[in-house]
Amino acid sequence: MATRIADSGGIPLVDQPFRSNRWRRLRRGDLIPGLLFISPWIVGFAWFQLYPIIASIRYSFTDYNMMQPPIWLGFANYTRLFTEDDLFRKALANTAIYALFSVPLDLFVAFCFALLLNLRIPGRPIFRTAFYFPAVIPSVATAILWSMLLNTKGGLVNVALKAVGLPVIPWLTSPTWTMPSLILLSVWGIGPIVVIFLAGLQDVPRELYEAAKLDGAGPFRLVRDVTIPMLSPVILFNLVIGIIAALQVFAQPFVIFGGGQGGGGGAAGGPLNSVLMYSVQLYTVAFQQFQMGYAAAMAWILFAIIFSLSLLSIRFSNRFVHYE
Amino acid sequence: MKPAQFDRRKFLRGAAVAGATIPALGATLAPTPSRRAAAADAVSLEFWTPADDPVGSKIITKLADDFNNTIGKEKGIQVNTRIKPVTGNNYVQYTTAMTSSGSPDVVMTYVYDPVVAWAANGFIQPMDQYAKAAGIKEEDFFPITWDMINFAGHTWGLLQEFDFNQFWWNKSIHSGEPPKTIDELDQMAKEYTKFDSDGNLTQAGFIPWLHWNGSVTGWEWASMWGGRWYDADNRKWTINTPENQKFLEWFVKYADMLGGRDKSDAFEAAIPKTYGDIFQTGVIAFAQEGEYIPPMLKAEELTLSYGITQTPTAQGVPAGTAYTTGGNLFLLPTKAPHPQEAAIFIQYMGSGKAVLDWCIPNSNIPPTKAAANDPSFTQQLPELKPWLDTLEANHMVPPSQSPQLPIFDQEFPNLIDEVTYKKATPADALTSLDAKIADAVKRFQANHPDWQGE
Repeated sequence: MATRIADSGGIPLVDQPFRSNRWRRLRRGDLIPGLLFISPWIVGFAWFQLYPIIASIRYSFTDYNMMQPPIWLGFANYTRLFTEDDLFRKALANTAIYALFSVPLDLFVAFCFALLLNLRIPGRPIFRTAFYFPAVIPSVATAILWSMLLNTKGGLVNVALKAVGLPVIPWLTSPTWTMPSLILLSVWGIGPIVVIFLAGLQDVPRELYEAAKLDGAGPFRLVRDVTIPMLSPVILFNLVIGIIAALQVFAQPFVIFGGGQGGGGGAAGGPLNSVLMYSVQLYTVAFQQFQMGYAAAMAWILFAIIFSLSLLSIRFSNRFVHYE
Repeated sequence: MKPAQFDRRKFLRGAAVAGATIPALGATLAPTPSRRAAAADAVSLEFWTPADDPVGSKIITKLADDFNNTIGKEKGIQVNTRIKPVTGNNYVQYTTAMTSSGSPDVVMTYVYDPVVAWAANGFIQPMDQYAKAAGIKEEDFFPITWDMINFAGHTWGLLQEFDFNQFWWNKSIHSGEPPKTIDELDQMAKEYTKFDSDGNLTQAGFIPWLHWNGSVTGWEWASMWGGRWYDADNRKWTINTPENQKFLEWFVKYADMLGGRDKSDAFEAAIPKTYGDIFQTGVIAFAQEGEYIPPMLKAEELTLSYGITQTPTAQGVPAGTAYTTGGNLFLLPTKAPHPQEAAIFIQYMGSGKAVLDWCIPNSNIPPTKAAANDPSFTQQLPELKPWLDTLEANHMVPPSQSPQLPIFDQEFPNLIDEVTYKKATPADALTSLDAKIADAVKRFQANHPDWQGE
């Protein structure tokens, strides 16, 4: 039997034998070696990803401390999260606030930098490298660096403020300033977003700018009416990735605001739990309080939130995303 | 015989089989620690320690080497010291390692916080039989240190040292006798608290929640008011009590005296980076400080004139009351591959000589009476006499011995913040915390019926 392979307009391109005996023999013959070749990956995926994913679903319905067999609880962990646990609610609210402010801020700043880096200026490769450079520094190192810079005890940021006659700000010790500090800190990691925007900018056809200029468009209108619509798929991509990253933020708050620092505190939520983030709370519950089942339930709720927000972003993207 | 045809498919199949098999074979044949040990005809112990500081790591490594060259050689035990740094009381790497088949044989901690939860959840095993065989006796220990390693009917490890604070005063600010009661402290603290024209603190008499996120100071100062968060004798949480409420109201009084919690935070945060502690800068009259501070002051060559005495207490609370903030422990994981040999090493690390080898250079308090009264200790660390006097008074308050301590540890600093930032009243904060811990106890007891107490 032959199948006519056609292009999207329905015009037949070529007659091809479909699932011919030869093809079937070839496929069957190559199947086993093929599977064996990728078996290290399959084993790795099954053992380190698939099994933990499936196990975590099961654990989320149990009381499990990692040493003793899990005890089945049904939906008790989920019920407790929503009805009793105020730290869960606090962590969820803090994370939502962080995402709400950091994602648009990062997108805006990254977009502006990408526009600047797209200009033909001397030393452009150096600037591009410089802006990407923070992305290759491990997040823990970045967090330690910023906790030193923002430290009220002689941190360079406050030294600079003091030098110009401004009052020092308790960036990391006041519940009023901790969240703004963390949001501002997120801008440090915009390097990859800038690079993606830059790649998008290279793809915007020159003719569109030229046509707009002929119609009398100034620089602002060029950005608003040409660049942004043409970059909208890239903006959507960065938005979705940004939401996912913001909702999972861990290293910065964990390292800067505690991680169990001090003799008695296991919390990393900062003063008044003002920067208690969801992933940090999940980690604390799992590894410091040994409530692995409860933490698994938290993880699945976070997954559901991220999945829903990503779907919503994509679902409503057709209103503002322009595809060529 | 016709030679086998070597085509592309056969080659690919052979290569794939070989590729999939070699790593598995490699993993099977790789020399594991136990195989290496067997090859050397000695039991190889994996010893995890958080001692990554220059002084601590040197001492621990030397102690392990000494063991290997003496008792280890004699008994066929080789200790491999693995320095695994931690941040504060975050022992997650240790916790997860203890769940695996590659568990360490011995773990050391710099803090007490995870120990009871580890015990209750089965991460570490009782050392009763080993302690008995080694002749470890209650009368050799201070009552407080014996209680720290013996709970829920078992001995769980050995201490290397333990910590508690004493009351320090800056003689440049306060030249007279130190306060003996909390009333006297309050009067003096008010006198020495000074503000600039903008209402910012320039000098503080006393900030009771200094250090450790308010958690340790919360345990400590509640004790001075006669309060206890956990009743170790009856193994029960005692959170919502009149004494604890009085203590929190006293914290609120200081928040007012200092112009608000934010003013005191800004004051504390504005000290130069070179100082690790606000007391060392000379801008605060009184503070609670640990036994490890005197050598630090000497090392930093600070010209600070200070005195050390017992902490002031409320009426009816005996002088010499002190709360143990923690200590260094050696513990035996449940999945330790060589528990018997590990117990021998733990016994060595908890012996008088090894304890003194650690405590003298680090200015720490030994857990046994013999070591604390050893002339080499008292002569080389005369500034620790107030600590030994406090131990003699025997009013030490033990840390919580509840598996719910990690939960309390997370909630308690927030309770101190809520009260001192005036987001909650002491009564409401205590009621809320009491309910949370009661729920946690109920959940734990439902699934761990064998564990004694709350």
